[in-house]
Amino acid sequence: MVSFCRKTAKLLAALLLLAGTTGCWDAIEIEQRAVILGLSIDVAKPRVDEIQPIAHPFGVDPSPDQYGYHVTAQIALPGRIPLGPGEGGAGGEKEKTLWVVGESGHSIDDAIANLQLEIAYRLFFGHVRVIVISEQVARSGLDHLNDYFMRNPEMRRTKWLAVTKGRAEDILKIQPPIGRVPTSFLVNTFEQSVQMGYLPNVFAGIFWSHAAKRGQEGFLPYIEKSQEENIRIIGLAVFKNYKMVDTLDGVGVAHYMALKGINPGGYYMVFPYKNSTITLFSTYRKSKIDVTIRGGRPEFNVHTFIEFNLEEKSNETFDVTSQAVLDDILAKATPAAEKHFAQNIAKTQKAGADVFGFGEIVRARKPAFWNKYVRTKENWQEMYKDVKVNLHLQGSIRRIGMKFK
Amino acid sequence: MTAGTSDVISGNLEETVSWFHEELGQNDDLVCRRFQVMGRYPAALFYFFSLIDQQLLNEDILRPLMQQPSEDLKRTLETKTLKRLLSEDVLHFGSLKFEQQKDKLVSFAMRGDTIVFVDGMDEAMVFSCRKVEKRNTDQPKTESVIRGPREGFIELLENNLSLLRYRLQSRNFRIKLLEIGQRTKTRVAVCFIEDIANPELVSDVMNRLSRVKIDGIISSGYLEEYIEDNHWSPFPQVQYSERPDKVVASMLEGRVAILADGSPMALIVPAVFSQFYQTVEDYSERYLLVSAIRISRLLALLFSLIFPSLYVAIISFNPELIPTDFAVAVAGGRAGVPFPAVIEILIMEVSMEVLREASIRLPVQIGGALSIVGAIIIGQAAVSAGFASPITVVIVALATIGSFATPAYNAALALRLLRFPIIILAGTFGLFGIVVGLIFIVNHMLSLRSFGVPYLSPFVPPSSGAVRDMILRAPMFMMKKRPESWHPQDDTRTPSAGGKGQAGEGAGWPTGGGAGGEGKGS
Amino acid sequence: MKLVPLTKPQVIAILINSIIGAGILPMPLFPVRAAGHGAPLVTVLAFVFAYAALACMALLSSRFPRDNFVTLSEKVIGKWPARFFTFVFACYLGLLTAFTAREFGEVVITTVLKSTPLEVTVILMLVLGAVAARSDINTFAYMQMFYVPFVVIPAWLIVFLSMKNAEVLNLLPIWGNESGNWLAGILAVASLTQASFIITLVVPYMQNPEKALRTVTISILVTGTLYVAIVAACVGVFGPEEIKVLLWPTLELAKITSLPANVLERLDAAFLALWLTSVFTNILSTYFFTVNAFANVFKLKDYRFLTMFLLPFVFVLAMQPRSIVQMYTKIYEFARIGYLYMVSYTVIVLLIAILRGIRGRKDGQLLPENG
Repeated sequence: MVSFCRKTAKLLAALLLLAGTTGCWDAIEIEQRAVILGLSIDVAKPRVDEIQPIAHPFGVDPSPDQYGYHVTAQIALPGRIPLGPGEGGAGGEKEKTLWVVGESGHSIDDAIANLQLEIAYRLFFGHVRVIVISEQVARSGLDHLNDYFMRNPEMRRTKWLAVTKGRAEDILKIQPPIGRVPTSFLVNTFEQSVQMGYLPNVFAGIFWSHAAKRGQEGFLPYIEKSQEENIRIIGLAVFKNYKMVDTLDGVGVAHYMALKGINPGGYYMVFPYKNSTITLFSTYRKSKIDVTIRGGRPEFNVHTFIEFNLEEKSNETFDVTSQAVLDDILAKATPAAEKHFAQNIAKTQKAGADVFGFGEIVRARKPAFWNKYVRTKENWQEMYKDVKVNLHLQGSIRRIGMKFK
Repeated sequence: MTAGTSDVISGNLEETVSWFHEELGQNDDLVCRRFQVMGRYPAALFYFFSLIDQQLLNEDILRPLMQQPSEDLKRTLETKTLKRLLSEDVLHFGSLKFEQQKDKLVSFAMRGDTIVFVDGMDEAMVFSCRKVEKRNTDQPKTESVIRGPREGFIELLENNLSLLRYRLQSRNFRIKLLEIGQRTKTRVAVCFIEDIANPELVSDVMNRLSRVKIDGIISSGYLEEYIEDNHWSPFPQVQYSERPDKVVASMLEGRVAILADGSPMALIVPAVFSQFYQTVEDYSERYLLVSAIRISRLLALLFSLIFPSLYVAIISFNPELIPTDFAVAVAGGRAGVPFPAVIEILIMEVSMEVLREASIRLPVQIGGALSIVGAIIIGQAAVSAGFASPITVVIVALATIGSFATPAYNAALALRLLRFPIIILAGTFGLFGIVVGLIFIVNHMLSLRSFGVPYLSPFVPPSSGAVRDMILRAPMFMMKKRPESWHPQDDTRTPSAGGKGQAGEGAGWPTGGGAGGEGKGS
Repeated sequence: MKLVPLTKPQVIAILINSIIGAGILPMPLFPVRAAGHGAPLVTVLAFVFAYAALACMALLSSRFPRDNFVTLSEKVIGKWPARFFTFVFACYLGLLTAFTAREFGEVVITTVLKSTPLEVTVILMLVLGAVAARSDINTFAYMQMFYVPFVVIPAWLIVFLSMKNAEVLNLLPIWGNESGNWLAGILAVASLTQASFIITLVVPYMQNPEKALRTVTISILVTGTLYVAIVAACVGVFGPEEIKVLLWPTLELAKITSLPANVLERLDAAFLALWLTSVFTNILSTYFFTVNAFANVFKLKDYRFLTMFLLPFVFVLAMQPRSIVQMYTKIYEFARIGYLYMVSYTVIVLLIAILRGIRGRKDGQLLPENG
């Protein structure tokens, strides 16, 4: 009896295993995939009721938003992106390595479904490195987008999100002369900026984390198309609850990084001094933020210390040969800088969007206060408008380059 | 046979001779030489001329027997029997035996011994004077080393045993002979060192060998199948070698060697997986470098197993793992190929195997050039014809070359063939398929035992002594213990008294003083 | 095949592999739901609790060094109550195996193999585990020992590589900002360790059964630090709010990780493949435990045949939940109830044994002939 059971059991196991070889369900050859490198999200150009009902039945309006989405994809053309030293470039025209194509829909997934119907090959999102969002979409709220991107397992968390003035698909269409793949150029813009100290490292995953926290708001790089085939980071887009409310200009980014103590430093400070213009380059930042509760409100003391290199002075009206001169330069520069800094912080306070993360500091270091009076994100957004932030900037010019005068 | 015949010879010469003729007379190479011992006693000599050393027979057997006895000898004849006289005074032949049993005499004759029957003696004399043509003890072609002895086993058992004996002059080195194979009656020698090898292991080996029931042992490979633990496993559980130095080193660890007459391959048991990527040379060169080389060998082994399937899995299932630019470039390379990646790899792999088999049998003059050129050209042509992409060719070539890095041919064979199921699994389930396949293989290896020793010792179960020789080779002074995996009795390699005791002399390591150390150790 | 006694490292490996399994993926969710930023602290407390529970089991088993769980229960509480309770025990273990396989299948289908039918992945894992469970106890121990580095090292690698994205502020205050249901969180994390109760099966085969408690200490220490590190890394990188909306936070952590110099990106596919190994060892443990438990309850000598016989039942159980949401609800319910059952049963039996002064014989037949 037992041996009979054993035999049938073995047979059963073998049959079960055999069933597994009946097909490879998930094998999609790489050349059968349309590898998408970059996406852009815009407001749909036609009005919503003009969007073709390809993926959903007509007459039923599925989206309560006033507009639909227009999704554009940069699809890599196989074989046009060669490995190794490229054969092109010596001759004339550079071949296009990407195919930029877009479609509209009532929702992101709808737009993508419509797009898939246009493109013969299966869309593959595993290599999406950058998603550009137009300011219009950003200001109306990113919740929709985030939901789609979070549920899709193919997307990476390390991709870059960026907000652009104007239409996002224009960014995807640029053809910069450097580099073979425009998407790599875009991604490099961000990554190199981080490396050079221009931009905090805020890829999609970090943005979501920031936005989800109760004591902080998210922000994204704010770019625009500049000159011919180029983009430029012009600041940060400040969000409140996934809706863009304001922007910080370029110096604002520097202030953010200074406040957070993000290294390496990379910003320049240009200001007048004794009839000439001095340019200082920040190399190192250190920051410490204290919080006390005063009068029922949190009060912050920000101590920021920045090291500079003196890079340029525009004439020879004075010499830079003693420490006293360096100290004097900074003494004159600091108040203006502090003022500008305070203005930027006030800007965010007005919007009730704490991108700097002061709320998190309260929550972490004064939990009793937080638990009693704040608790929720909304409460903090309100309270943030009234908090007092004292700035104490300190600097030191360490090096003056190779000229000693 | 009639009832009256016994199984021992009688003293009657004519009876014995006619019986012998009946037994073996059909063979035309059997020679029967009648003569008189010391001029007086009739005798007959039987031998196979194809097997014996004719000169030895003439000089050392016939001559002393046929010589006229001296006066002293005649006097001694009064006091002793003929048998004793012959063996003690007349014959100066080293290996002289007396035998009564008829069937034993027949088998001695078959073996190449010379049989002498003397009238009146109830025992026949058996002389071993076998001489068979043999080749040189040259470096074995399959196991060549750069630095090390260049002797290899040959087919004759005596020579092989002599190669072992002179290397291992310990009084505890034992050789036990068995006869296996009903028709071939092959002599099989089991060699071990008595105070090191585990007695249970030795008796296990002897048991398994004595249970072998087969008509003939042509090569030691036949024995391997009969004594191994698991016949279905693709992994070899018995190691073989043509090098006496390797055999001696194994015996010093506590393992048992089996040699068969007629086969230059010695079997070494127990054999575990770590033996299949170690070579003798690892101990001749410097340990740091050798450790690095061993690691690369192991990596090559692993690579040859999973590289093609990794390619299939990543390309077909998970292209997001490779950097973006590379992914798109690969897509371009594959654009013209009509098959899915799985089929492509399988086709290339199968062609590679066929090419490999063919190149083994090619004559030497054409073989070398053809295989290299052929492989390159075929690969190139396949790419141009469009049924393989260039990356596939690279991958398959690398995997094949990697499989040659395994020193042991039987293990390399196992891994070569296991590649295919893993490729199929990879084509069905992607990376998971590979992991599942690897888990199956590893589980199988973990449940395999070679003479009771777990196959993956010393990885599991770990033993501190053996770990030093597992992947890296520790310097000699750190490897003081023998590997515990086969439970040797004496587990210290170096005698404890010899090393540290002579601190005063400043020489901690016994080099020339081998005699002193050895004496204390045993 | 002759059996040899198990050594301490082997038992530690068995316990570690039984604890680390499919549950490691959603694991940070529980302490985060309970305590927000104080999740690491909750995890620590959970492991303290788990240690106490497992220690009771270890003490009980080493008190009866050569008895299996059924026979020792019989000695303490009588024949038929013991048989009944341990039968429920065995059934629950089968359920555990089924749910682990199902969870594994769901993760695979959702993240990597999107078109493969769920049944195939579940069957694949169950068959892999069942075939491996046919081995004798020594091979079982070797398997666990072999796979331990592949299970533990990738997890630590992910933790270390993701540190650069972590913010210390996320981990403060240490006890969190809200007072969620700490007890539920502690229980949820502790119940992830329940497969380690396999120690009761393993102790009779040990070389030194009295050292069982030490093996428990070491394994809980190893897995505990790993789990706390994972929770801390997740909270540090994402912050608790973000974690609450993710189904598999540990997996997301792997997604963010990249090797230095961007050699490989999107390591989560590779991480999942390695995690398959840890799920396999987990299922091997639970299924081995299940089969042996049933064999012991029904006094069968040979448990190999049960590995194939019980397979269809386990498979059907695994297919029961209708959606991934229902699966997780059911898993949490049963995991908690079952864990409490196991723990309370153990503690009660231990107390009774101590009070009644019953011990097992130290001698007696150590290992069954056929293993």
